Amino acid sequence: MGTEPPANLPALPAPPGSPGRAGDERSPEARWEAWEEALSAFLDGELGAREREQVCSALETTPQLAARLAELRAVDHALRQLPARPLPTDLRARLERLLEADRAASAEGRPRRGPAPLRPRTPRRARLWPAAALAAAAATLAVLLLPRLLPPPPRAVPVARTGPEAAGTGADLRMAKRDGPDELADVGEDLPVIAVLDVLEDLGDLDTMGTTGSG
Amino acid sequence: MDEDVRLMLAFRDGDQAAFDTLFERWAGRLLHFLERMVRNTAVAEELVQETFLRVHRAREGYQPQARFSTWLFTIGANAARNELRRPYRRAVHQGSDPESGGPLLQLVSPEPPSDQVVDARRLSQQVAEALEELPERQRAALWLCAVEGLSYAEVAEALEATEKSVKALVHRARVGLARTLPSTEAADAEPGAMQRTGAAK
Repeated sequence: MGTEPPANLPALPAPPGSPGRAGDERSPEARWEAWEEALSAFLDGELGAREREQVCSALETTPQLAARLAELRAVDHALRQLPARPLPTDLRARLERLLEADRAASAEGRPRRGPAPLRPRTPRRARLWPAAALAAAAATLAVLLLPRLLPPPPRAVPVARTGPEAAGTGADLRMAKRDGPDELADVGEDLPVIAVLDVLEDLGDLDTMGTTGSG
Repeated sequence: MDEDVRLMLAFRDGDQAAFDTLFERWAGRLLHFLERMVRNTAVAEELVQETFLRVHRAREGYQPQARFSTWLFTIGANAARNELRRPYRRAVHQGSDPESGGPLLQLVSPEPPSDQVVDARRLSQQVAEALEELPERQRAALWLCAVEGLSYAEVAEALEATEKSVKALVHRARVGLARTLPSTEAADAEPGAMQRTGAAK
């Protein structure tokens, strides 16, 4: 539902001391929306005495505003009519069990369990950034250091390209992986993955620890 | 002094019965609000417990700086916000009755309901669904203002917002919901409400 705005809207209500909005240059749609907001505040009892009087006068002279006010009021009425579910009979007992556990933990100096921190938890995506950064650093180190740490491959048979243009290219690394000892090739492939998994596991442990709110 | 504040002060001073009274007075309304916020009955019940656990923990440092309801709904709104921001929050049961959290079949009774009852249920269902579609903050602001009767300043405190933004949130939520209601409801709603309109809270 929705009342159409009239061609001539009255001036918007303005608090005392303000210049008023009689010379409002906004578009009719923007003025209608501003009026709707004023009507909403009027419904909530959030207008000052003078603004309330201005709204009452406008309601008498502009039927569209009165109709819109009725529509907005109907929303509140409908919300208040939404049936409330009865409180579960065991909810107080469940709370009491939580409170007992809380008291016991407090008496024994253990961290209190229960509700999550009041502070919004860090989104998972944000928590993964440090892990991603560490994994990237580990991968970079692996790429830089592995060729120095590993013994030279026993044979150097180019597999991708031959000839002078292949010298000093990735073909060397491919040769090392193919022809070198298996375990070295495995380390070279798995190191970043292991680093990522380790970091993720650490973060998972941290996350499940949680903290207690200030209450 | 606000009766609830008096009860909370009594609880702070060791009166356990005062806490029980506060629970009886407010748990139902808090559950109603939280159900609308998280759209899951079981989770809403957990959040009610969480909210009152926090009230219990905070008793020693409690200072009555606001109405008890503002404080309680601030804690509840924070708990709901945390729940809604959980990365893997429990799924909302699709097709469940938004009023009870149970299946829609629960609405069917052995006696055929009258047309008026059916219309009221349908409208209730429409409103509940439209409310669910609203953004979280609009939903919270409108509920706290229109149903719980909190002022813009109190809602602003509960939602960590400015009064100006609360005014806009409430307005947008109302206009959004108004689109979903049948036009006949507007004229028929709350006879005599015009006289109450604009009355200070």
